[in-house]
Amino acid sequence: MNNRFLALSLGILLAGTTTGCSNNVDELTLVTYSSFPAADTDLNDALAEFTEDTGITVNILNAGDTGTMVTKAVLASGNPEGDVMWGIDNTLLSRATTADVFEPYVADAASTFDAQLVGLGDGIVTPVDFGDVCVNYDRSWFTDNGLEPPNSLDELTDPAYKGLLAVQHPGTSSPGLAFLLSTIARLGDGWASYWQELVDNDVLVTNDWEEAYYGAFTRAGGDRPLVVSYGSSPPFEVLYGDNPNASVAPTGVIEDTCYRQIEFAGVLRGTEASDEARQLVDFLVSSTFQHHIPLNLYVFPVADVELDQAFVDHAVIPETPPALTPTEIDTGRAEWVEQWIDITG
Amino acid sequence: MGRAMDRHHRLNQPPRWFISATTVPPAVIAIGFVIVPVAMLIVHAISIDAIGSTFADSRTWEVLGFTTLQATLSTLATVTLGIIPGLILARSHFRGRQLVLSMFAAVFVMPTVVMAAGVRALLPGDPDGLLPIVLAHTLFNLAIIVRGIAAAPLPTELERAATVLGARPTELFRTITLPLLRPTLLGLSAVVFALCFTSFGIIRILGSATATTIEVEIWRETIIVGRVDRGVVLALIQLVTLALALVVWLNVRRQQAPHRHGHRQPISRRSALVITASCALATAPLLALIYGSFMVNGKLSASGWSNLLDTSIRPGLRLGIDPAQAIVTSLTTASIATGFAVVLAVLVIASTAASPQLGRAIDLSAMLPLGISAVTLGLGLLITFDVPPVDWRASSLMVPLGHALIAAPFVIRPAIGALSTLNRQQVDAASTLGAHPVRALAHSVIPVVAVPLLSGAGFAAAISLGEFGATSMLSRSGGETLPIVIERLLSRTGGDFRARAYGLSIILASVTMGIVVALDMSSNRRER
Repeated sequence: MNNRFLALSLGILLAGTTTGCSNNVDELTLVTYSSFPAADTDLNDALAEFTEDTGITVNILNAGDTGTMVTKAVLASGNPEGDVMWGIDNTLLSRATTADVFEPYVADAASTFDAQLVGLGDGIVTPVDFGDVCVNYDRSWFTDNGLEPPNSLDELTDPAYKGLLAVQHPGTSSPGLAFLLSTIARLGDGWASYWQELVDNDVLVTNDWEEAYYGAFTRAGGDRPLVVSYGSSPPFEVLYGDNPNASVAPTGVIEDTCYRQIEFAGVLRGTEASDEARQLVDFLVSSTFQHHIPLNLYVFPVADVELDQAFVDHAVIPETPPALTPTEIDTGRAEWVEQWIDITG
Repeated sequence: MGRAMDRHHRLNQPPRWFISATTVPPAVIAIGFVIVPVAMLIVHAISIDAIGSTFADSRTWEVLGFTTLQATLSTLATVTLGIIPGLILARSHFRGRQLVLSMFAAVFVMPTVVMAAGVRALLPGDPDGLLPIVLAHTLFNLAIIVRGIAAAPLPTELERAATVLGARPTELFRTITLPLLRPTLLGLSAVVFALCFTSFGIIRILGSATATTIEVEIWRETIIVGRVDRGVVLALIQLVTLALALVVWLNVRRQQAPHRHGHRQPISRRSALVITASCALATAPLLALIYGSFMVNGKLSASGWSNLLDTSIRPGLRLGIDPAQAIVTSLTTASIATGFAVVLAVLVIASTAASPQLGRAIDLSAMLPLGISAVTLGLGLLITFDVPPVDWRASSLMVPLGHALIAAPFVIRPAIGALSTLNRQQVDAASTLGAHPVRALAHSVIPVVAVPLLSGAGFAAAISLGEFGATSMLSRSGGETLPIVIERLLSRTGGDFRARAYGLSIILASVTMGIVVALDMSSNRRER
C-alpha cells in the first residue's frame, strides 16, 4: 500500500515537473540574464523571424543576473542549461572560458566589427553589444548653482566638486566595478592615490546603482548631482520622459570617465544542436536583430545599424575608451576591490 | 500495569502503513530537494584549500560575529515590540482586528528594496549599518511575533482567577502569562532569529563591507568573486552555527501545558492606544511607499499609478515588462506553493499525530530550510536535477516548489505546536470504543490543527508572494513574479518607473492582506 502511494506521488511529481528541454533540433534554448525581455518586445519579434526562416523555435531561459548566470554556467560546464548564452561580459568572460563553458565559435559577420571588441572574445565567443559606464551629471543642478560640470576624471577630485559625486561599491555593483576599472585602465598604478583624493573630496559610496541613481542623485531628490551610471542613461531620460522630443537631455555624460562593458554570445559546450546554435549566434549579430538592441537592452549594437534619433541626439559613445582584457580583470579584480575597500573604508 | 497500558496503547495506534504513507513523502521531498542538492554542491565544490583559507580568514569570524550580533539584537527588538500588541490582540476583540493582523503580514512581504527605502526615510543621515538593519528586521518580523502570540491559546481563565485573588497586572504578567507563553515565544523567536541570521536582501542594501551576514558573504564569494568552494564552506558554517543555536534555544522550551482558548474581551482604551502605536510603527514603511508612488523625479505626480500596468511607453516603444502578467504569475505561483506547503504540512501533522515521538525531530528538521543558503540550494538544485529523466532545471514548477520549501516551516511548526495540546486519552478512548484508529485520530486532530493550518497557509501564500532571493537564483522560463518585476522596474533609467514599482508594491501588499484576511476569517469561523 505505502509503496503504491509512494509510486503515485512520485509519478505525479514527475509528470508535473518534466517540461520542455527536448533534444529536438527544432528548438533551441537561449540562456540570458534577467533583464533580457522574455516576450512582447521587438527583440522577441525578431527571434520569431528567426523561427520563421529556420523552423527553429527559440526558448528564452532567464538564468538570473549576469554573475549568477555565469556561476551556473561554470557549474554546468559540459552539460549546459541551454544551447547559446547571451550577455556574458568582459569582466566575467575569463571565468567562463577557464572552465571551458563555450564551444569556440565566432560568427563570420564579426570580421566587420570593431577589431578591439572581437579580439576580447579571443576566438571563443562573439561580441554582440557594448555599453559604457560613465559619470552622469544633472544639468539643471549645475545651471541652478552656477557651476560648470566637470570635464574629466581628474576634475572630479577638484575641491569645487567636493561632496557632489556618488559611486557604487565595486564589490557588489556591476557599474561600481566598471568605474573602478575605468580609473585603473586610465591611471594605472596611480588609481589608488586618485581614489584617496576622491575620498578626501567626500565621495559617497552606495551598495548598488538604484541607491545611487534613485536615492543620492539630485534628480531623484538626493544631494549628489554627479553619479556613476550608463552612457545610455541620458537618451532614456528623454525617451521615457514627458517630452520625447526634448532637444537637450536632463542629464549629461562626462566622456572622459567612461568604461566600456562588452557583452558576448557563445555556443555552450555540450549542446546537442551545435550547428543550429551557431546559426542562432549568426542571427544574433545580424542587422535584423542588432537593430532592436538599443531600445530594449540599453546598450549599443556591434553591427553597423542605424540608431534611433534619441541615441544620435543624446547618447555619448566615446571612440575608443580604454579597456582591460578579461584575463587582466579576472586576475586583478579581487585584489583591486580589497585595496579599494581599504582606501574608502 | 505499565506493560498492559503499553499494549493497550499500541493496539489503538494507527496501522504501520498509515505512518509510512504520511512520513515517507515529506521525507523524500526534504531529502531529494534540500539535503541531496546541498550535499551534491558541497561535494562538487569543496576543497581542503577552501576550508583552510576560509577558516584562517579573520573576515569569516568578523562576519559571523556581526551576523550573530544583528540577529540577536533584531530578535530581542522584535520580541520586545511584538509581545504586548500580540497579547492584546490575543485577548481583545474589536472592529478591524483582522485588518490589523493582516496588515502585519502585508509588511512581512514588502519587497526588501522598498523596506530599505522606508527605513532610510525613517532614519535620515545614517544610511547603512547596524541600526537600520535592526530596524528593518524588526519591522519585517513583527508579524511573526504578533500573529503567533495572537493565535496562541491563552490562559485567560487562570488570569481572571488570579486577578480576583488580588494579583497586580505586572505580577500577573510575570507569574502567569509569561511562563505559560514561554514555549510559544521561544518557538517564534527561534524563527525570527533564523530569518535575521540568514538575512540577504536587507543586508545587501543596508549593509556594508563590514556590516554583513554570512548569507550575503556566501553570495559575494560564489556569484561576485566566483569562488564557489569558499561559498560552500561559508554555507556549512552558517548551517552548523544556526543549527547549534536553534538546538540550544529550542531545548529551553518546556512542554506546553494543554489549555483551551479563553474568551476575548472588548479592548480597553490603553490597549487600543498600544495597538494604534504599533500599527503606526509597522505601517511607517508602507506610508513611505505610498508617498514614493506619487513622486516622480522629485515632484508630486500620479503618473506612476496611471501608467501602472502599461507594457509600453508609447506606440513602438515597448518595455518588455508586463505588470498585469506578473500579478497573475505571482498568484498562480503562490497558489501552487501554498498547495505544496499545505500538503506537506498535512502529511507531517498526520505522521506526528500517529507517532508523537517523531514530533520533536520533525519540528527541528522543518526549520532546516531556514538555515540553508538560497544561493547554495539554488546551485545545488542546478547540478542535481541536470540529467534526464530529472532534468528539471528549466521546469516552471521549480520556483513554486522552492517557495513551498521556504514556507513549509511556517505552516508545519504552529500546527505541530497545537498538536501538543491534543488529548491523547480521548483518542485512545475513541479507539477503544470501536472507532478505527485513523478515524479516531482524524476526529481529534482536525479540530486542533485546523486553525493554525489555515493561518499558516495564509502566511505561506504571503511568503510566496513576497519571495525574491530564491526566485532570482532559480532559472526561469515562464512569466516573472511581482517582486522580480518590481526589482526590474527599479533598475531602469528614466521615467516614472520608480513610482510604478512602488505602486506595484502597494498592490502586492494589498493582495497579501486580502488573502491573509480571507484565510484568517475562515479559520476564525472554525474556531467558533
